[in-house]
Amino acid sequence: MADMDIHDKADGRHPADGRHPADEGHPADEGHPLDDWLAQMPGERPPRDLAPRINAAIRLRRAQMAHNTVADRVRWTLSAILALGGGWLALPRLATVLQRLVLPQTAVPTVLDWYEIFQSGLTSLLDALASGLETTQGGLSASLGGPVWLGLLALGLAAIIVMDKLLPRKEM
Amino acid sequence: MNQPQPDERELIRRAQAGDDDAFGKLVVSHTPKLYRVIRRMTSDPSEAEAIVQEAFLRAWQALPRYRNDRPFFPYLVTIAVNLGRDLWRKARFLEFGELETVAQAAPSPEPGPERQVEHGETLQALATAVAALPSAYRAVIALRYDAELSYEEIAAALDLPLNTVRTHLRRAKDHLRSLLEEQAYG
Repeated sequence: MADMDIHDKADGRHPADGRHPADEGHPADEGHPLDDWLAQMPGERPPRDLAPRINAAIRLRRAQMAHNTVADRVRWTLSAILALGGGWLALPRLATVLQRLVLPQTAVPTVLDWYEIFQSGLTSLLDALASGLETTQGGLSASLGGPVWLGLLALGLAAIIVMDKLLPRKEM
Repeated sequence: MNQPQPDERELIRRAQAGDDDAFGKLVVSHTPKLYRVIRRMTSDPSEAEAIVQEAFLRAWQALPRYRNDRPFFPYLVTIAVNLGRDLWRKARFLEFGELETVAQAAPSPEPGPERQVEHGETLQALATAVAALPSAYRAVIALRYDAELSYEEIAAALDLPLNTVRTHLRRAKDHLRSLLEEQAYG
């Protein structure tokens, strides 16, 4: 058996002759220094600047992460301010408005209405939808004041900012 | 399983505490060996560079979750092999194909007048023969002899059963042995 010092490891994984226990006793290995040769096989050196480039990339990634952390904090703070402000403006008024909001009976069609609409064809369906939406919008506009709309807008913006952060983004 | 050296463990501990210079030293010490391992698996140097760089970046990002009682290099190799596996999925990286056709594919070294190949030439011929092996066999050879991983570590890195690793390593070595003997005496 050829000298196998090259495989001898300080960690004690390999026996003193350098052979892995699983390699022992295979007849094909008798008298053939293949393990030794494989361990000495020439390999390619990395480009000299590879390690510095990796370290530079890591520093850049750390800077990006620090920047992202600041951006995240700003985002969460802005979102919280908008949500609190919007809630303060909209919710109390909205609660009372919704309690006394009376929509015209024609605003939202019932199942029976829908059945009749389908019976009478697509044009009637579109007409019914348009008129229903218009009536609902009119009822809401008449009942809600300007600050409530502003509050709702702020709540919507807060939600958009949070969703933008939470939803996964497809990497290009 | 090998244990991390005390110095390395200290470097990892400092890197986990946010010391970039400590991680930089780990990069400098492990880059040559990791590159050599990955380069053995791919014929494209720029691909090997990209995998090595990304492996270090991922290891760095995973530092807070890294258990410092484990050897660092096999951990790095596993990350790099997984990156390669993703990259080479279409090339069927870990499919152990037939080896019979490889003998024809492997270029023969020029034998000397007495058909006695010098040691350096033998190693070069061996490296050429390994480069002509299917990628899965190249991977087990690279992990065993370039990365110096144990069979268990190779099995973990390639996500293969231990016996499969043993079998394919044995098969690759048998093939290389017969190839070399054929070139030396034939």
